[in-house]
Amino acid sequence: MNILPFDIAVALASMIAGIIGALVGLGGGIIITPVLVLGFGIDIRYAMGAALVSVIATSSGAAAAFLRDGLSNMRIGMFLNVATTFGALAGAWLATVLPTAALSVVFGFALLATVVLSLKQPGGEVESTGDALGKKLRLTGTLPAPGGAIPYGAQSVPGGFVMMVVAGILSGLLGIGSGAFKVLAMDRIMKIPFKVSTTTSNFMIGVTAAASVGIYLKRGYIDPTLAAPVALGVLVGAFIGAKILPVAPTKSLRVLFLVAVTIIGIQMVARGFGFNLG
Amino acid sequence: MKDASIQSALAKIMITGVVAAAVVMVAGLAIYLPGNAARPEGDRVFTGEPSYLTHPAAMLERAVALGKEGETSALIQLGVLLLLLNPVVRVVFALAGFALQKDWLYVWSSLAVLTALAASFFW
Repeated sequence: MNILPFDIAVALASMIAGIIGALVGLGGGIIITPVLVLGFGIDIRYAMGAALVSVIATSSGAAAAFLRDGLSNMRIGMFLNVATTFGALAGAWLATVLPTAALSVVFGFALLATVVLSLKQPGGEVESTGDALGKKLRLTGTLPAPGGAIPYGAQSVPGGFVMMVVAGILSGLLGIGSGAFKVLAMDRIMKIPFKVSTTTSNFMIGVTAAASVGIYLKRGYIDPTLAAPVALGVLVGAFIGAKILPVAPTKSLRVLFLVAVTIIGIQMVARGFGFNLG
Repeated sequence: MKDASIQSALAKIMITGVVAAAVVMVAGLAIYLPGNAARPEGDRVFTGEPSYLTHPAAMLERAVALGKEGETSALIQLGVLLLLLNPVVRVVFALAGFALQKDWLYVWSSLAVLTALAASFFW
């Protein structure tokens, strides 16, 4: 395919991925990379590079909106970013030494894990005001509520920190935002309210991604004629998705989407083992 | 300075950064694509990228000079690079906010994050 129709097709596909991502609450990277690899036949390294760039674009846009609402917690985000950025450096380095078949397999399993993680229904209630270490590190805040702000705090900080290192490694290794894994660390391990976890995760994703993207750039994983249409497409798509979110049939979309992602995950694993399931 | 005012200022900076990067990417594509429309896309096989697309200084040079055919893609890459700088600005801004509040624990956290980002771009 020549570059002009190719870029237009890629931008359109990315826009659709961006819309769906915004509607079902999953980030761009985890959808875009399989679309580029399985749909366009692009080498997984170029696909990961482009996806990571788009992750930075959407997370910056979304994080800005959430920061204004005062829901995301900058202290929790910055503290845990220490774990994710160093994890991402390790992951990005791993990505440059592992064979692409192995990347495909790990990517497939990460997709399947993301599906399992996103099956949890969002809560929003305050579960903990934090344990001694959480309070000492000031990993606390207040959640706006109709009856007045409710204080919350983090517990099990070491466990959450380790999980964040894992999220960072996955982000650098696969070129994804790894938002589902970040929310796992904050919401389930550290007992931070779900709403705060998801919005703080958005703030963190861009910073985590930036820690691997420098390495991707130097290794030549980022082709501007692929990364730019992907990033622009996803940005426009995420914007449209946010606008139509209130009227979209998100529940049935989610089910359909999770089924599709499961199939794609299995295909990525199969591809890594050298099978083509078509 | 209160957390809330830091956060709303930061939100404005982030939106501006993303829009600026998007404008440069669109401009880059608009300049590059018409002249190179007949090129085959070459992303099925991994070959890496030439130095003018991987090193910021060389990228800037080509983007400004709008060099030979094909090299105008450096301008698109400059837009991508602008986008990549967004999170770095975010951390620097947060660092300044924490410093103004004399919140040293978080100044150190921000510095550690900046170290990781610097390692990625310069190491």
